[in-house]
Amino acid sequence: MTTGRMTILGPPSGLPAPLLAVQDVSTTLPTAAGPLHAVDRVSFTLAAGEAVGVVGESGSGKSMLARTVMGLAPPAARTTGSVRFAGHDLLTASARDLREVLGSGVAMVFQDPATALNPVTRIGRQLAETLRLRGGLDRRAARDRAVELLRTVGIPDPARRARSYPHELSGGMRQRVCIALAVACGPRVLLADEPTTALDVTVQRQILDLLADLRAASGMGMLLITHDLAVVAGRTERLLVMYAGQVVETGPTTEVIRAARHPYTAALLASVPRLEQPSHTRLATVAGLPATAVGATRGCRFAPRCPRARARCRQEDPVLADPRARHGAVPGRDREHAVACFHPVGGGGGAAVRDTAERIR
Amino acid sequence: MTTSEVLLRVRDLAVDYRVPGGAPLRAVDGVSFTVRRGETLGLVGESGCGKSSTARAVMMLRRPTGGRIEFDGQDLARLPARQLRRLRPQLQMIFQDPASSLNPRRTVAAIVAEGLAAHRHPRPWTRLVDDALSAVGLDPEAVGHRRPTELSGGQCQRVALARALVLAPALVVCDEPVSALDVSVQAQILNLLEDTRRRHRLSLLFIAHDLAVVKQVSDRVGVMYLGRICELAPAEQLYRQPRHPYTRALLDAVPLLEPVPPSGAIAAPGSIAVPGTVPTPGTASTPGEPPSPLRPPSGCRFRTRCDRARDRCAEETPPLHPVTEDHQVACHYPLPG
Repeated sequence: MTTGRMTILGPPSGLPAPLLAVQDVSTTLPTAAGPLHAVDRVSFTLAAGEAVGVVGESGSGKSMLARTVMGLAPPAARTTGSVRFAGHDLLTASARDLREVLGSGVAMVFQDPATALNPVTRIGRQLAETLRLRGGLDRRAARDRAVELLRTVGIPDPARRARSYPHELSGGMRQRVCIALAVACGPRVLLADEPTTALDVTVQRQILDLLADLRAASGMGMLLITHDLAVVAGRTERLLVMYAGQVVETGPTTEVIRAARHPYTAALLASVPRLEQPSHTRLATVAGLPATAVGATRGCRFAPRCPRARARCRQEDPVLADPRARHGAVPGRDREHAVACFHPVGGGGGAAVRDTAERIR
Repeated sequence: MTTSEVLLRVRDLAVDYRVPGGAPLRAVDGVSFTVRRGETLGLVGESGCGKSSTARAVMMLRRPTGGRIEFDGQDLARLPARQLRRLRPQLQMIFQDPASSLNPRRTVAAIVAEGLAAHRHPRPWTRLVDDALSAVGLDPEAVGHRRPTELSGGQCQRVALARALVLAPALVVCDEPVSALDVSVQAQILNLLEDTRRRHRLSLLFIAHDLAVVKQVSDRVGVMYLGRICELAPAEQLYRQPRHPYTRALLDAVPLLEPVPPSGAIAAPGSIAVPGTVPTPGTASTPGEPPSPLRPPSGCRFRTRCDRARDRCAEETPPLHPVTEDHQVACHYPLPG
């Protein structure tokens, strides 16, 4: 279904120059119980025009990953690894370089549009301010451009609406304003953290359509972070599934959803009520609660909840590997379908993955 | 349907809220439905549609402005306080946010016993409380003496359900009981609600915004928009063949795990595809957002967003009327069956 599309517009199958390259990024937060591994050795790339989904439950580290990429991790956090964008490493860049990149290079849309806007400033002015500071426009040009941006994001009667305060707008309209702010300076990468979670379903559809249109028009790359697998299903080309700070499975979105290999991904998919299922269908459940990794951990973090876990899963860390690969090489690391599991579900590929993981080690 | 089959019959329910310096806001406007014994009726709709106000009115947490709420043949809205109080154990509710609906200073066992105390149930309660906790999958030994802050969201929701069950209710009103929970925990609680309903032969009034969740647990489903029910039908029928344009719009907006490409819309070779626009089958998204309930449109309230609307929709309010037995629609121009 999307394959035709992806061959045209996905990253070229050779060696694409990614816009954003996240390499072995870890974010550790100090807690009373010991260091919390909020993000643990996460790697991925994002090409121009590409949409990558990040899915996980609460505490999986998906939001912290976005914050780390944006250089917005809390001051107490310790980050390692690298985030390469336009010749900078965002993790080590000076505040000045970062200021140059953020907004005009990498921008972010947050979950709660009500708290992301300044409540005492008219929305037109908030937009114009950004445009003057970052876009270098003069007062009049900035005002005109602000109205134009509000029109682009689908706000009816934008000239009048520009004079509204955030509280005078509905949640959906506020999120449109936030998106207008994020794209005001033509970013090349947009990080959207649960952009539709606070919205009703018909409005969610509109906002996802808007993000897709903006991406198509500008060729920006988008990281779409959500707890809702269905939101990423039709909207992203590739997917990262996170659990307890780690990426446990990654690959083309359709493939991961149709043929999930990690027991966690499979369990997550099975536990979602689906419209096409008859009423009173018993849902598959995962025992226990989503985990977080605190202190020194050993073995697979999903093992305590995993019906397939065996002794080895509690002893060794599984590494992301192509479940079909017969040789040690890990292709592209995030271009191909890869899973961090010793006993992946489906396909009888367990032995191959075990081999691969061992060779990597 | 004989009277004995019906546990709850709501007729022409109206709920108003006072608005400073203006006419009252009518959150629920002429809502009628029944809940049969042992049945789950789902109410689904977007924010501001009046589904939670309906739930609270049924529970008599907010006295309705008009209409009747007949529980087991008695109109709750006209019942003297003393008699209403006597009925209360039979009507229980669980809320969206499990943490804030439980008293953080009391232990789990005390929370579950609250209702028994309020209704002067003869002591000892230990056995009843332990049974209720076991019934929701909690170990009374392990959690009975703990406080809500020490529990996860899913566990708190189990405690809330135990608190409802300990009074042996006939009807449990569930207002968004799983929307604050993670997907894997949501599945546990939905299964638990299903098991509990069967084992205790409960009726459920289940309110949520998530269409798939509502279908999962419901026998019949009502769709609400701006204070009114626009369609009410057996769950399978409503989802398979919606007759109200709003129900269709809602269903079309739900993102699917495995999006179906529009039939016959295979892109011609060489055509330029637009990334990220995998469409929901053959539909355009519904424009606009629900209007303010302070100034609802005349006639049919959905008409301002409906592509089937004609003059009549602005002039006459479409009544909820049966299109087949058990399937009711409030639309002048319903979709073909």
